[in-house]
Amino acid sequence: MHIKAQDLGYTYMKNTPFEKKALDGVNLEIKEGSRVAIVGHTGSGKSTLVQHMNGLLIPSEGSLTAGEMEIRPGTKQKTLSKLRQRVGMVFQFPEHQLFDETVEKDVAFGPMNFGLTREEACGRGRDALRKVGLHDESLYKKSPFELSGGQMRRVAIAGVLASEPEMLILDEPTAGLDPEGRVKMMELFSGWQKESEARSYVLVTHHMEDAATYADYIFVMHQGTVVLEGSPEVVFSHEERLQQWGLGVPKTTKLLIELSKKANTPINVASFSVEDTAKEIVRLLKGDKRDV
Amino acid sequence: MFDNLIIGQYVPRESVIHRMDPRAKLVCLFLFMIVLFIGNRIIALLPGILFVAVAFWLAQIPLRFFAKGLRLIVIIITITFILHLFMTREGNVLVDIGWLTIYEGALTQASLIAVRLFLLVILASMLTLTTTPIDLTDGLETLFGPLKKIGVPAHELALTMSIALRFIPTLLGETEKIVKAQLARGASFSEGSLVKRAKALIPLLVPLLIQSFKRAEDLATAMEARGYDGSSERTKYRELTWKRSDTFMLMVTILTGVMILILRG
Repeated sequence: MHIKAQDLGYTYMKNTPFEKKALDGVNLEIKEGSRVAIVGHTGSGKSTLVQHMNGLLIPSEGSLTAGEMEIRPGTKQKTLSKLRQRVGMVFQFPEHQLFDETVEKDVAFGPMNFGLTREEACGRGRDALRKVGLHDESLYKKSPFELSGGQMRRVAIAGVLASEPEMLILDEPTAGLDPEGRVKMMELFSGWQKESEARSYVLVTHHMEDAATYADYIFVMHQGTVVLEGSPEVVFSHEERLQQWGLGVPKTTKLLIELSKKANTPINVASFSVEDTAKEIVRLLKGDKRDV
Repeated sequence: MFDNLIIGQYVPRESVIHRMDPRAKLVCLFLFMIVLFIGNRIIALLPGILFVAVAFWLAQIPLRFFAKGLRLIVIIITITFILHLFMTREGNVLVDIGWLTIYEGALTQASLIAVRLFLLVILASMLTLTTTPIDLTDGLETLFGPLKKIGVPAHELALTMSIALRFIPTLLGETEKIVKAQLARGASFSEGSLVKRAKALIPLLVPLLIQSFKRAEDLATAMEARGYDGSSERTKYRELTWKRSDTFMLMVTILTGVMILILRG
């Protein structure tokens, strides 16, 4: 789905002593079928921004267009159900949203809200559960609260995927997971996105490595506005500016930058996987000075 | 979503009311409460109205913000007013159109109750708006202190209250998050019949309860791990000091009370 924000602004608790401007004049465009990351320091407004994309928040100023739907100040919540079916959202600690008696029913909650019958919804729910790696059917009749933490998170994500959205908003979905769990979780979303050309996701993250690996385009937010955007190569070539905003570059890039300084030779620092980084180092050691 | 809720909120300001000793505020509120219900004529309540108005002006709380937060209370008071108006049968008949009869006594009675409740709610919410939760519980604890001798667990009560107050914002934040997560899954909290709306709350209440239990357990474990035992000889880093201005405020409250007593019929 195509997303476009124009001069988007949002103020929390408007007209109270606690008024706080969270977004100010945000302009951005996300193309259909793309993998996008939004990075920024705590409080930079990234979560507020993505909550506009499925209409959870209505802009205080400007507008946001998602597909054919235009949301501006004053748009009514009731008109947004269609949009929420097309844009799924995985929050930080999604397991906190589980509530139903059985795993199967909980996963079917979304599709049933969007007008499917119980059987259809359960069918989609089972597909989604298999997709997130829960193949053991005896689990489906259990209460979600009997499961382990990792399983609960998978069930919650299945609950979002079951509505078959075109676009996923991932608000730090890997928070609190160990490194292995993080990779598995991100591979799951990456695999989901590749299944169809129309599918896209927006990843909100603190991890520059995740942003570099799982996104083709990155937006950097600072104090409620987009301050830098571009491909990972472009964004992570601005190490100093990123540091000013309380951000860094991926560890591999950091290593190559340091090596490049020490060896006094230019290196292609835009290698984000361990393999590519190793190749770059080998090339440096061999003294291969071909242009970078 | 809960932008207009003012219960348990603290608005930081540098006002006379903010600087008052919490004990003084609690005692004033308590006295005022009793006196309000002694005043049995609208005229008798006039000093009370003036008192609350001046206190509100001194506290420097933005009027619009406050008025918005009181909306629900105003609705409740209006309903009480209407009920009293139709249920009381005293004095002369004022209006009589077929099925509807309003008595004179009913009108005075209803407005009396409404004014009392209104003043009470304003003053009580001003207490939490101008006092930090920690000051409030400290104040309560010292006020209840003498009751320890007859076995009232003053410290534990104060602690329970401060924990409850402390977790109001947390709980609101949690609620907002779960509401959003369920809205994103197509739930709707504001459509359909009453039964449907009540049912729609289940996906919100179950996670909220589970989270609260978990949090309570974590908190208990954390406190026990640190060997918390507040009932034994505990010294305090922050100590309350009773100032001359607090005595003055107390005098003003008593004076208001006396005036109400004189004016009552």
